[in-house]
Amino acid sequence: MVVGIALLSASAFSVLMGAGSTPQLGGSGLREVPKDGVIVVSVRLLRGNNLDHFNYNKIEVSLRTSNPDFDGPYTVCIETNRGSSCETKTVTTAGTTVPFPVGGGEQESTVSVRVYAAAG
Amino acid sequence: MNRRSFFPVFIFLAITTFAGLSYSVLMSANPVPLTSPTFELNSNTTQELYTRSATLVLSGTSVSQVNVAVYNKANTQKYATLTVQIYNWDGNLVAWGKATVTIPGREVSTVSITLSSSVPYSSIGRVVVSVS
Repeated sequence: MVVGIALLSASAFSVLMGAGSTPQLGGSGLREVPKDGVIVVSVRLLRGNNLDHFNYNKIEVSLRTSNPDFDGPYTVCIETNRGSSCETKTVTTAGTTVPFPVGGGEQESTVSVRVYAAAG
Repeated sequence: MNRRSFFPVFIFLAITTFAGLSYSVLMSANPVPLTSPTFELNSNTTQELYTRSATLVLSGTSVSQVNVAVYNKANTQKYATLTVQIYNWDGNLVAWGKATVTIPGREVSTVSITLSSSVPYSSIGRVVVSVS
């Protein structure tokens, strides 16, 4: 019986742990972030800081939160036909720009952006 | 309740505990990503026209316009047609827009393209920009 009670407690604990593991803002307490809580506004292909080149070597992702309640640290990841990488930045309603160096070239670019709530 | 009848309950609780703990550990290690669209910036290398950026213009959390920058690699001016297609997460085309522009040689032009309808950001799975 004692073993049963212990297992029951452990079950309840594990379920609670699972329920609390949705994306959360570290700085703002326990809070779930909606899908449009962080908005990727633009993707730019640059050479240095210039758009007027065909041979780009940097992909710049600009994003912002849709509400100050969602301001906080996020990990931004890109997957491209030039490779993949991630950066962690604080994102606010004012906007944040995250640069990703990539190998040079003039081919077409497909940039997939994934944003993860990061621990604050 | 004798010991024999308690055995199935014991097995159930053990499995529940193991599954719950595994789930919580996996979820902590792999946070669920927020949704972001995939941007496809297509260039027309034979025409020497290169899409350099796509910027979503939002009203609240809906997208009604896309600003596109295109670079003309040629020394002479080019006439370009820009197309934006917005797909939802099921792969269906939900909005589109088109614009034309004359771009001087070796310069970038930014064009505002109004979409056929306003689209909630959370429903956008893919933004495709083409130039011809």
